[in-house]
Amino acid sequence: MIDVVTLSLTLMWGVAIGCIYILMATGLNLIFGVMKIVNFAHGQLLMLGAYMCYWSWFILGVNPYFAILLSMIIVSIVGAAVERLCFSPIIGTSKLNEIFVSLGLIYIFDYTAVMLWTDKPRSIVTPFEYSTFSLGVVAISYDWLIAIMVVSMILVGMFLILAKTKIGRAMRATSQNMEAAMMMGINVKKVYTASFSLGSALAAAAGSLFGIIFSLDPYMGSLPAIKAFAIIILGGLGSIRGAVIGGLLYGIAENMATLFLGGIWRHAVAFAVLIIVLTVKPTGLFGEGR
Amino acid sequence: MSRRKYLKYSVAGVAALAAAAGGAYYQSTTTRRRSIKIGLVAPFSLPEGPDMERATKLAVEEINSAGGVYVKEWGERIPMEYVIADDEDASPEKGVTAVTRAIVEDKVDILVGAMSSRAALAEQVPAIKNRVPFIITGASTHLVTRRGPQGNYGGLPPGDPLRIEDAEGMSYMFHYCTTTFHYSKTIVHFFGEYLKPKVAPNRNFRLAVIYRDDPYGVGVWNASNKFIKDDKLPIDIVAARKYPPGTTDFHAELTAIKAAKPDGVFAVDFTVGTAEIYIQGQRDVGLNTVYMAVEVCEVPEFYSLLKKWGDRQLLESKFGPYAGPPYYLPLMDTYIPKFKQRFGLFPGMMGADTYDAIYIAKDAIERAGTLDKAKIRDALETTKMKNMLILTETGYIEFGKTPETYHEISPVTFVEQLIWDEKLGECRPFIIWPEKVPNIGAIKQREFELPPLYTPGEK
Amino acid sequence: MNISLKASGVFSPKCLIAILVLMLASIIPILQPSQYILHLLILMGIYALYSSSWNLLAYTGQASLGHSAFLGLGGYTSSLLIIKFGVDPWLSLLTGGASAAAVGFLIGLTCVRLREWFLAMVTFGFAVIAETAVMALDWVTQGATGYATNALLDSRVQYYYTILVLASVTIAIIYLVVQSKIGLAFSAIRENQLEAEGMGINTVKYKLLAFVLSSFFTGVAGGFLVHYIGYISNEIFSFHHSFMPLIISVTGGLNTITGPIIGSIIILSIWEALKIINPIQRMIAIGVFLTLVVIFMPRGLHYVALKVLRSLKM
Repeated sequence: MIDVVTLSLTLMWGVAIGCIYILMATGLNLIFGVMKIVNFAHGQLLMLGAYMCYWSWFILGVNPYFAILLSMIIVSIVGAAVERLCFSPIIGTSKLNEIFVSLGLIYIFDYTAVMLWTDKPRSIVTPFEYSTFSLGVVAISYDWLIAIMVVSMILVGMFLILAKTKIGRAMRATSQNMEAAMMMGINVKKVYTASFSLGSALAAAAGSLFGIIFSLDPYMGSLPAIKAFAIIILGGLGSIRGAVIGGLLYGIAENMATLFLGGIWRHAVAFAVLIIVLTVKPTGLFGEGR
Repeated sequence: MSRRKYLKYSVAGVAALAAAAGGAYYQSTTTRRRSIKIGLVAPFSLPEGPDMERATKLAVEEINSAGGVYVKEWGERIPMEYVIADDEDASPEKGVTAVTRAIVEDKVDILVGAMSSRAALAEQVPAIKNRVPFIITGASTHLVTRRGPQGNYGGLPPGDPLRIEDAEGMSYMFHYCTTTFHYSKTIVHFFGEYLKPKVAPNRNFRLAVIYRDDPYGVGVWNASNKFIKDDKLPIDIVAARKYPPGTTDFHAELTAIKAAKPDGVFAVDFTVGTAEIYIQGQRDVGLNTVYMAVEVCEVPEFYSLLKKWGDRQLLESKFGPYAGPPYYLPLMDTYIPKFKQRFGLFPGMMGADTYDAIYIAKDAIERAGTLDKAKIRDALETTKMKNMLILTETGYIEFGKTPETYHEISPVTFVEQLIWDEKLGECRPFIIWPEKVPNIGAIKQREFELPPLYTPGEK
Repeated sequence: MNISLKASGVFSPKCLIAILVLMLASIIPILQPSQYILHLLILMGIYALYSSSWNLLAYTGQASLGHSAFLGLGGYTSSLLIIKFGVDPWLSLLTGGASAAAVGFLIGLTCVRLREWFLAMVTFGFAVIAETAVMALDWVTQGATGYATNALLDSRVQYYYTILVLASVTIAIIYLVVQSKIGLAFSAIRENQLEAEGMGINTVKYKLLAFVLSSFFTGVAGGFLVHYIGYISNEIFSFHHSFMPLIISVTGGLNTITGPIIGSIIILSIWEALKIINPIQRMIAIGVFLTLVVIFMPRGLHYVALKVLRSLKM
């Protein structure tokens, strides 16, 4: 019944959406790699990022793709503040306290956004809204192509920061061994704040792309955050490579489940894949052993 | 709105929070005389809640500035106020808590609202038990008024816990809303009777249905199937795709639908999902067909989200704030500008029912001449008001008395076509079907035209 | 470790306090509270039961983020048994618990090798899968529309006393388990799994036992909840239901017996009290409250109360 064209197109859309998942998962994973905490409110930073992109475009009239940069800067500052005010006091107490604080932040961010900007959905219009690039059987809009390029650029940029800069090296050192890093004179507190704010900037970029390709509203963050969380568990906590492969795998699994079993199975199948992977390898695909 | 305003908002936020708590308390203790209390049951963690509150606020303010509600028994005009019964994300558990609180603690005279079917079916129970009149303005299931003896238990089998034996209690329930039956009927008849001869004169119309897996989506799906079968419409359903609420990525679904070669796509979701289906279908998947959506999308955001992708596409509606002026109902000429002036927004569809319901409550209390709940119920049963914001078959707001219409209205719904307006940068709807409505007259505003890229499913 | 759980006799102060609290709780209906207050008290009882069961699992260091799966399974099994087969309501309540326990056993099996976030995500995933299964079986569960459930009792007062007894008995059982050798094994596993294994504790066995007990009581709580509310739909699998026991237990005091009880009373009261402000501001206030709780009382109200008591004594 299902022909090759339909199958390959579905696969393609799985990869495309997977690219945006990668961006979210990488940010979350960066924070985990360094700080060993998982920020459940990552989706709320994504939402904030989408709004910052929207307002930069709407009020200042800048190109939405340029607005992503502004949004990343603003949200990285917000991220730093969130880390200092909320996560720093409880770091190392218990995993449950981290979840708890994230839950509080979800309420605060979501409903402050509703209060300030109402809950009406909005969309960002780029100059390429109605232009598409033909690939024979299918036409891809320029926005999708640019989004995938943006994701690759940001990933390369992040890789360079981690590999070439002083703070990047400090992050890697802290992620491998916090105590050793401390003894080497690295200011771990500063590194924590820096990685949280870098992770937030990645969330902002993902949110902005979400806003450009789909739409934005105050509640948009929850579902992507859960997916991002599942992806980093699937790929292995702290592994950037894992986040990339996990993101693509998740996007493909979701779309294939939709095609073959129907849409109601999309989340269940993605989680079933996760559970199966964890049963075989309890630390995820690329997670380090304990 | 300026950025400075946002700054101001955020600074004021913390202060407002504290003040609101104190203010609410102060207000409740300084009410000098008895006012009429409306309990607004609405989900405030969903976009519909605030829309319903805005409409309620507007109606209550209008009524109070006109002197209030005349209560004959007391010989004076009494102001009206509303309290919120928030069922958050339309949860049965939170709804029961909120409605019980409204009835027991706030001592409301009448309840209005309830958006989702599952919440309404649970939260109406305390109202039934306590004999509080409840004008339900959401809930797409007809069971909210028919689950008792008067509605022949809505066809529920004996022993089903949904059945309610308390006939007296059920008589306090009123349903002022279109149900899935009303709009599904309009839509499939439009496809089968109007569109089919135009695009597929020699064969059946190939329809694809994509619907969310919630009571509303499933209700539309079941009702559409029922009408296609019962009314022997020349329609084949070639694809039926069900997806979880909250989905925004429809590429896989639409790719599968495209492979089924439909003549038209019927999308059953709220604003965001429907807009995504229209956009992703045309922009990404290349499914160049005619798309139809349900009246719940009749909110301003739908038009701003759709952009040019809505051009020549369809929307079923019962309340078209954009289809005018001039409007098909006189009250809309004043309601829409007033709403815009008060809130800086266009009114949404959910609010329209709620607005009407507040006036229905006022009318019933005035005719009852008392705040006695049984008398208000009696008055509601004999309501006969001219149509306000919702069209009905008779031109009057009347609640049915037969088992098939028990305490329901008989609304009229219509189909609009969206046309791109270059100046506004958004689409605007025009009523295209049906031609006319009993007691109101002609409502058609424009001739239907197929989308320029339209390709029928098969030759 | 937890000071409040040290072994003590029947006439210990702690036991006397528990009896006193129960006596106070049982005279509340005599004071004729409004139906609304009674309703809240019943919900508090249900949430105390639910959170205590969740807390029992957390006691072994296994924090679940998908306990709504068991709540829902208990609710669906129990209500369907009554509707479809006319099973005795109280028997079906227990069967609901048993079916949740059976599934809990299976989930426990996949979880024994997992730690922290991995375990959290797997339990969360199971809640998603359970919801999908209910949606896919819509010919029996009626999917998202849901169905009405049979009432177990006639009046709120009866519900109140029933949940009081049910919650007290369950919490007493949990107390006894925690006090026993099993409890020692549980906390040893929580503190350090490798050491526990070194001490010769069969960690797999105890972890599974905790899963089964916790999911059983949660299933019973779920059954009671849906029969009391009178309606069930897939909404029972919501994030809210999964996170609520965590919010309650952490606020009250993790790994304590009193924590979930204090927590459910405080959290539900605050949730309701905040309804005097606008719904949107209320949600923000809830968020601020949660954040402050964990920053200023990371060990929960239980310890704050203990501190206050101790400072009074001195």
